[in-house]
Amino acid sequence: MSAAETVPVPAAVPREAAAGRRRPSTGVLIAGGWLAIVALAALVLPLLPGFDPLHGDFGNPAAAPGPGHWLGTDAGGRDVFQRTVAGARASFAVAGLTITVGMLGGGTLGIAAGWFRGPVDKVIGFAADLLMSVPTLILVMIVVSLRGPSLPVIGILIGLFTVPAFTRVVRAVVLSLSEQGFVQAARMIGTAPLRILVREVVPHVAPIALTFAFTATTVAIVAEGSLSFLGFGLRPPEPSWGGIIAEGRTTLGSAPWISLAPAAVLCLTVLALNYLGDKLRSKGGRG
Amino acid sequence: MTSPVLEVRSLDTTLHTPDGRTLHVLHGIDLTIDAGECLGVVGESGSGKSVLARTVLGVHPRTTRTTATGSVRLNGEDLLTATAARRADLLGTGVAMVHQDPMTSLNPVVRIADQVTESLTNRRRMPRRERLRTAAELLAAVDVPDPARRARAYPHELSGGLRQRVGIAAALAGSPALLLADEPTTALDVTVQRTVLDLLDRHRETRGLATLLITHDIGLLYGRARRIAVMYGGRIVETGPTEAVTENPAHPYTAALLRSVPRVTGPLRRTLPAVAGSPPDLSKPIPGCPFAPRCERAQAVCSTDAPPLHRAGAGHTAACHFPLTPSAALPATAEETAA
Amino acid sequence: MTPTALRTAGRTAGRLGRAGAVLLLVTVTALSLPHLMPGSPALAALGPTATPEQVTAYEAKLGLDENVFAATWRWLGDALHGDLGHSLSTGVAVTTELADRIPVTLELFVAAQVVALGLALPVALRSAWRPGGAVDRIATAGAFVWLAVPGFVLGLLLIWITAVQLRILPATGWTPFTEDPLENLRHLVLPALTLGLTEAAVFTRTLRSQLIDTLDQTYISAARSRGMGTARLLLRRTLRPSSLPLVTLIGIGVGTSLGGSVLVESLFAVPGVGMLVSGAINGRDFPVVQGVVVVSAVAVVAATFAVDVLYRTIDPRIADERR
Repeated sequence: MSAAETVPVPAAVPREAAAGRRRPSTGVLIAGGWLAIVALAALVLPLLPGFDPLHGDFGNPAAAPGPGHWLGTDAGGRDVFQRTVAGARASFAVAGLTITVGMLGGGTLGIAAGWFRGPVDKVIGFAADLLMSVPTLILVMIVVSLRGPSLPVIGILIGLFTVPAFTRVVRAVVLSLSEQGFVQAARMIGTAPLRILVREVVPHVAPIALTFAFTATTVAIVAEGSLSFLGFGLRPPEPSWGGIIAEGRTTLGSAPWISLAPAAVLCLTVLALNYLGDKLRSKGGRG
Repeated sequence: MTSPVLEVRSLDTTLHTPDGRTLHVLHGIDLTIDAGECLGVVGESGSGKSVLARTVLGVHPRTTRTTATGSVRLNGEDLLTATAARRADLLGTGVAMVHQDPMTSLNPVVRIADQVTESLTNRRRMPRRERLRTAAELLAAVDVPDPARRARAYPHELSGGLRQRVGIAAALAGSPALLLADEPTTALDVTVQRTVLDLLDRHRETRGLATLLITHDIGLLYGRARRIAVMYGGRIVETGPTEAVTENPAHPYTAALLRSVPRVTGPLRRTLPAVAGSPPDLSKPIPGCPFAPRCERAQAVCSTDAPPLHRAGAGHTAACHFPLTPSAALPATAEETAA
Repeated sequence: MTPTALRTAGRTAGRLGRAGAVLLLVTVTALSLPHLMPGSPALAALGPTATPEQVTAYEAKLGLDENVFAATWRWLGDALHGDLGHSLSTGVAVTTELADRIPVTLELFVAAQVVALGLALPVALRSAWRPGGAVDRIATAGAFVWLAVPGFVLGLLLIWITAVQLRILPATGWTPFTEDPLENLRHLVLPALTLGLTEAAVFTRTLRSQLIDTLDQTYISAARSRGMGTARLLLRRTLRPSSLPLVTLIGIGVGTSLGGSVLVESLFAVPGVGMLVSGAINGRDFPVVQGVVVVSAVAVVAATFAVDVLYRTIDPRIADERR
């Protein structure tokens, strides 16, 4: 690509007003704070010595939350808090894969559909329809049962199923952008399409992608949780949120914390993600 | 002399918008309309004319809180002090409104027949056949061709002009004493405008309807409105018989308004005289005359003291410190003199 | 035929063709699933001691010995005669299994929609009529929090509260309606609530937003200006123009409910299609899985068509639109 341009492409990406001038609201702080805590715990705590979510303290089965075990222990005497932290790790790993697959797949397909339109758009639309006609959870369960419940398999599959939705959003943005003057102007003066894409279109897709990241994470957490709950997730004793919650089912009456503590952590995390995602969307998600 | 159908005295209306602003939209409105009479209210956007209609009608946008003081008497009954139930009673039967945009004033998923008879069906049950029959009659009365078929149709199947007739029919269905027409022809083609206005005139005469015709186009009122009220900045700045106001305007704003009407006859003008400036900000109370900042004749007192009512003729008044008299008319433009 | 009728016919044919293509591809996918397994599916199912004859017989049963298009053709042919194969574990015809289970799942689905709409309609109407009011604020915040609770957690919570703590409802199990309607309803409550409450939150949000938009329209204040009372205004003039996105959601809900019912049926031990397919996946019972996948795709496609038809009924403008 030539470095010198005879006519500069008009930089139509508006410079967003410097964000963060105003103090973020209390809600944002709380939500962000919670997420930071969970993320930090998931990253750091497993590295500390003494962290062993698989270690069963057989002298202390199904103990209520207390000073030794913050969230109690499960039927096998394992520390619920440590297992929850380990589960967070698994969930976030799945989320990472989901986001990557979703963004790459959905982004490329959406841009292609919106940019080239015509037959390309129709084919992509048809493929999206197809994907949405199959029951997601069932299909993931099938593939997982056939190929084994590993993190990559689960992450990629869930990511695959978020592609149609993201494709649609990206496509809409690209379509509306193509109509706008600056893109048509760039095309008219013969600017290479790739350059237009990178300089004009992608910056507008970026905020949408960020919102998508939040949504995709919640989808990943819930989907992974559901899968593990049904027994199609990571094999026990590897802890994952859904799996731990499922384990506590039988003792709901006598030891509810086994299920309810990780469930609460899960719900709070999803809540925080939804909250931040919403705030992001209303502040500048739309380019 | 019979009492007027509508009598408004010292009406002030304040709007409290959802984003916290307070707008003093109407100030000291006085007007009367007799049975069978058409009063034209003319003014630019923001003059308060639509709010005037809505205050008389009593139906405001849900999200904006409205307070009104003064009196609005319909056949002697003060609407502002009436109970909500009584006001609801009168909607459609005592006072009715024809809305501006025929494209949005009809519910797209409801049949014409059901909408046009609402003033009646809101009060008593009407079996389907009767509804269709009544609707066809109402539509025929407003010259809708093939009324029986049109009654069964949905709004999107009708043209703009036809939809506006439906709106008129719906307003007349409850046989109101007072009809408020808020820019009924603004959204229509010029050719259709006249037919619709003629229709309104016809019904006014046959039913003895008192009509408030709101428009920003003073030209529409010639020959239709017996009297005119000119509004600016939430106040009535001039009122009087149509001929008197249009031939000898006493208020500078009226004169400027008349000057800016394009005319087919008369001297050829190359530029359309417009009034410089913009309407006043209604969130602040205005001590003097609202037109002062844009008025050629304004003096210091115009910005500080409320203008007195100047009597320019029989039933012809203007609120102005320095009203125009036939001798002290606005100087003609160079082109007008050249003709 | 009139031009409009021709256009509609053309459009319908186009959509039927597309639906057919989707179903075809889904069938091909379903039939290719055994190939996803690493190694030979026959050996995995029959074990390492399987004789070659057993392997061949297994592969023939699943159509693994022919190419995928021939297998699809054969499968579709059988399907149109009402034969979807037999379960590898029980030997029962797949159609029989489905016939037993679909009514249960259907009952669950309908009950969930009833719960969801029963909650969403009044709450959304009230919220839209008085935005910012008490009901609105509670409902909006509540829905937001609610949506953060995944289905299985909600189900667990409900079980804990009602069955464990209060002991008023059975935690699991099922009695068919034909046997004992009252017992059936008792078993229906928790699963229907689990599925329906989350949907209610989504429905409420969408409906409220649409209602608020509609209420700002001129035709609503025009109706008020003719003396229409609030109740009639909301129910007879506002609801209908606002209901399109809700109908879309319900249509999409058919697809997601299948996944949801897998969870809920497992959680509450309800013998519906969800439990059937869950067990079949675990047991590598391919014919059952394939049957369920294709049947659910048919359901989704049918739901899409139904949504389209409903669209036309609700909004007459759509019926006349030129696409």
